[in-house]
Amino acid sequence: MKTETEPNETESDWSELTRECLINILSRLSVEDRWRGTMLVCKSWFSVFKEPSLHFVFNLDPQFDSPTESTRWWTPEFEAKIDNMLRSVVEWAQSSLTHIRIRHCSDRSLALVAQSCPNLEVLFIRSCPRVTDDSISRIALSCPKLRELDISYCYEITHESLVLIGRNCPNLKVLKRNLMNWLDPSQHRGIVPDDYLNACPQDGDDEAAAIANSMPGLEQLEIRFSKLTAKGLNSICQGCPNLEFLDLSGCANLTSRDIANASSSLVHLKEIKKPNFYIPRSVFHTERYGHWSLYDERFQTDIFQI
Amino acid sequence: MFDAAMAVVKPEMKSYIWLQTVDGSIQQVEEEVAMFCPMICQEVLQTGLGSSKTYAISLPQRVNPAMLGLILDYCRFHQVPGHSNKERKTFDEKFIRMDTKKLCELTSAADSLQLKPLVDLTSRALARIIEGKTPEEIRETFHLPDDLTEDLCQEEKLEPLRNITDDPRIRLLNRLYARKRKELKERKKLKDVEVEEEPKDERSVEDLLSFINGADGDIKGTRANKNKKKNRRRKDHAKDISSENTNENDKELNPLPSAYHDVNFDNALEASASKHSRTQNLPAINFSPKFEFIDGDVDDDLDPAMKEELDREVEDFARRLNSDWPERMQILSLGQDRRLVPISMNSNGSTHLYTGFDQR
Repeated sequence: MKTETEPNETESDWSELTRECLINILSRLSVEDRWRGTMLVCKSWFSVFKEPSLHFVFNLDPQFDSPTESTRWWTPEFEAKIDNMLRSVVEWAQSSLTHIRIRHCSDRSLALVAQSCPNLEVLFIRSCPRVTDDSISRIALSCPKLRELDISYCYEITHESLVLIGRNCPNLKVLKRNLMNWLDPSQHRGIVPDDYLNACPQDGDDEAAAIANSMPGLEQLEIRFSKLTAKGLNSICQGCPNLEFLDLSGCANLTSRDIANASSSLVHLKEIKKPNFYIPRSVFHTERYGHWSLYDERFQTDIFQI
Repeated sequence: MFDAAMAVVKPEMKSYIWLQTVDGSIQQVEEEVAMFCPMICQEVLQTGLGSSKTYAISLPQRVNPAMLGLILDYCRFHQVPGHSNKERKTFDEKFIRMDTKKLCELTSAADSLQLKPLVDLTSRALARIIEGKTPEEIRETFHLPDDLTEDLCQEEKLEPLRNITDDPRIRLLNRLYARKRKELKERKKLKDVEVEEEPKDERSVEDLLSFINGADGDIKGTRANKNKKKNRRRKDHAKDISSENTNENDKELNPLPSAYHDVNFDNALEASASKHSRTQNLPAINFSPKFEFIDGDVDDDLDPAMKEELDREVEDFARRLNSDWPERMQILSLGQDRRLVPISMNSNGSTHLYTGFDQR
């Protein structure tokens, strides 16, 4: 025990903290304070900043969760910055990275994730227009411990990589594959590039088949504004018997009868969100008079659907 | 009686542990308080030290007497059972009200004694101090060096020197500086912070753009030169025109004004006259040089008569110039009537010729 208490010959500077203490302090700071403050102070603090245990979880979602989305996030320059941050974290974490919750990255950094993060469990990469089947396929083959996957608003990902994810990640429980509101795109107009808005995937049934055929253990599924039909929904409900949560908001090609027939076989289902075809426009267009809200509310029912 | 006395004395006795700090000072601490520190507890149990002044426990380097005092205060409060959580939180909040320097020292000391609750408390306090601060502010608060940008300072110092006298030593020094700069750049590239690469790329793009702008400037320059050439041509043309004007002036000056008037007058008559008048004008043309010669002689002899005739011609010419167009037409028609006048002039001319012969 004496060996542990090594006496320092030189007097330590009053501001010198041991590495363990500094790690303790940095672990209590937010992502923003770490990356914008402590990382850029001095060499010793930067060295401590790169401690692997501080980078087991890389979560930028709090920074992105603002009611006003920025147009700047959809530029290639911003995407390159996010890529560089993710690559740095992958390097510093030294194969121990388990949670990634970011947006607006690209294949460039995800290829490195697939190469260096065998213990990845959570991958949330919303709004990544330049993430393709190539990187998702690599992740499917290299990250078998994946439990949660969010590829919402990633229009370049298709059912082909979804099949690989399902086959190679047996522990997958949560899948989020939401699309943007194509019924009323005003929510995204002026922020998301128009050509990307118009590139909404049309093969909802193919994706549904991929999910149904390869993800039998799925428990939570979000496919808002998907274009799947009753056929796709039936295949999902047949192929994923353990579903507890199903979000079908905005799936305009489904009827109440389709949903009722398909979901009757899900014995574990606890919550289901059904499509609501009369989305209140007043949420995005405040110019309308107040009574239009009442009008929308009155007709936001499924009575008129056969 | 002795047994009773001994029984009375025993409960009053307390056990103490002796602790020695780096500066050599030794102090006596209650056993329960000291044993609250895991490190001291292990030391006592394993080595048996601390039971007397000569066998005091040596504390780590980072624990100085001041810090030890603070730590013991913390232990005295928290090792006593019965305090509520609220009281403990209140004590903790008061306890960590100290400057950043003391907080850092206390954190290090508590960590060396493996007193985790106190380490967490002080770490939380330090984290709260760091929140929301810029790197500059953190450096100032913790008195840390700004050594992340030292490489940039080195690079500035490594700029090449001006080699005016073509000194080989300066040339060699510049080469060494260039190598050093290359090494520093490579180090920068190898740095983990790849985000810094972005501004470099942007700068290069800006350099390219500035280069293109420079080229545009050159093109504008050439255009300006072309304009200058055009201006020169225009100037030359103007000069030519002015030279022509001077030539015309010279021509005008050569003949005598009186003769010039006569020639114009004759031309006008020819244009307006018919064939008959043309035949009449032919002898006038033949006589013109002689007429000029005679003028010199006439001035000497028949001044009044010639002067009157010349005055009449001048007046007629002036009237025509000053009159409006319809009046000019009338004058022209009258001019036809005055065709007889040159006949009389011819007769006068003949008489003059005769007088010339007489003189000779």
